[in-house]
Amino acid sequence: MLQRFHNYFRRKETEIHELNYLFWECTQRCNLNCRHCGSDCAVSSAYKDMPFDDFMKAISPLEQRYKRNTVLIVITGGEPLVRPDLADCGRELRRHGFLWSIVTNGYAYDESMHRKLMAAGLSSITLSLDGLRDTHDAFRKRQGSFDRVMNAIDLIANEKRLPTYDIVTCVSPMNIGELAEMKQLLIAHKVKAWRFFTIAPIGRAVTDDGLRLDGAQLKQLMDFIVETRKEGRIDAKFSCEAYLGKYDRKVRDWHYFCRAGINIGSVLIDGSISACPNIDRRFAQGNIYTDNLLDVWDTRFEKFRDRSWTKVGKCADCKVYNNCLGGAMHLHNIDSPEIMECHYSNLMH
Amino acid sequence: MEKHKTYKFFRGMLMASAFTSMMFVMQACYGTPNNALIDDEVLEYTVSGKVTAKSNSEPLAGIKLTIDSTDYETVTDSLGNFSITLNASDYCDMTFKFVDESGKYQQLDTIVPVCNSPELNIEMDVNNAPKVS
Repeated sequence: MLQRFHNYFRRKETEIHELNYLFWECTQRCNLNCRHCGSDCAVSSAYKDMPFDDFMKAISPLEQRYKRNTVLIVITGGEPLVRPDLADCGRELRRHGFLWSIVTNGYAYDESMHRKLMAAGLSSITLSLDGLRDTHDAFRKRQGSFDRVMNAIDLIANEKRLPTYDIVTCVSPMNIGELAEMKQLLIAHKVKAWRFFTIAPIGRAVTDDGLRLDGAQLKQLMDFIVETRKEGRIDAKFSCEAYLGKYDRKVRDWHYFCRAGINIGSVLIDGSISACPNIDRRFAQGNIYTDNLLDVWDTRFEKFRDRSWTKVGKCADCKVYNNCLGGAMHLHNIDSPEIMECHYSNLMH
Repeated sequence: MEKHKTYKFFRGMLMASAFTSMMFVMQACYGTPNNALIDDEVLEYTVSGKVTAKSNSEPLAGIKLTIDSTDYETVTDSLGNFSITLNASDYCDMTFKFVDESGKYQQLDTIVPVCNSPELNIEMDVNNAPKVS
């Protein structure tokens, strides 16, 4: 019954498709070289950082259409903290009525950076923690990364003026055995929200089989999240990457809903207009240097809003297709409509 | 968009309900939590303080306080006190502008690090008095 109501709600949300979550891939430079990076960014990028004025010009039509504080600009990369003008960009976004946030590895997030970003009106932040000290440093391929991110976690967990934040963990066979200890660590550091995702076969992870969970490990992760949610000491949840059958409502606040292209858009480093930055870039719908962002949002994105093209291969006869609609967009590539990985079937078998 | 008017009406009611608002809390797989629909509306903080005359420390009533780039404004009471509630995701460093509309006291603009300023004590100069740095 609730699932049917959700499916109706999802259909209506798709029809009205308000843009209220916009990624800005402001740089492809990064200060780390993580083993599982989905964007495959580089220390020395082929692209220069996008000038802030170019981005601001592209999003100015949003200011006319949407009310103040209803559009969140999620600044990502690469690593956004490598941009020296990050706080200035954020301050200008606030001045124009946008909320803004960053996704960061936390390596460069020290007290001075924290003060600068808070003063510029940062409204949300996500930090990555991928294990205890040795595991995290091995993932991030840089010693000291764990200590740096824990320092950043202390800064944000003790910041009363930050409306919301969370810690994300990419769960893999390397760290699944450490989750219980990580939970104690995060609770001890006053962390309130912890989100999990698995590593998709994209970016650098395409060629690294050692990062993917098998069915039993995936079930172990789901059981861990269910148990943690029951305890109620930290708000644990699974990300929006897949429909999970009987686990779906137990590991999240609400049903699975991939909002890419429905409420979520992006401006990528080369100006491409797409949805989440981890989606195959050939799904891009336009470019800010040649198109009007709102026109593209209003009139294109057909493949994102009508997912019927995904009902092929293992999805063709799947009895839960209507709940799942072919899974999250980042698990598809443009050459083959079949989903790359199905958590539902992995959990069932 | 007109055809979605009824749905949008119910949508607004759902968003306002604590029970169903979780439907609208979105978060891309690799994105940050989105507080645009809920948390930002409810998480507020208050900055308060007192405005006095620099010459004799008397409280100044009726001083208008505005904050640059926002719609916030308030007026000091008969004891010179003010209190203003801000949105949590506004800047920490905000320009507070104190104006005496009678013109007796000089306008005072000051950047206030409100993150760490629960209490502000502001002194205003008489308009013709030499400016003291």
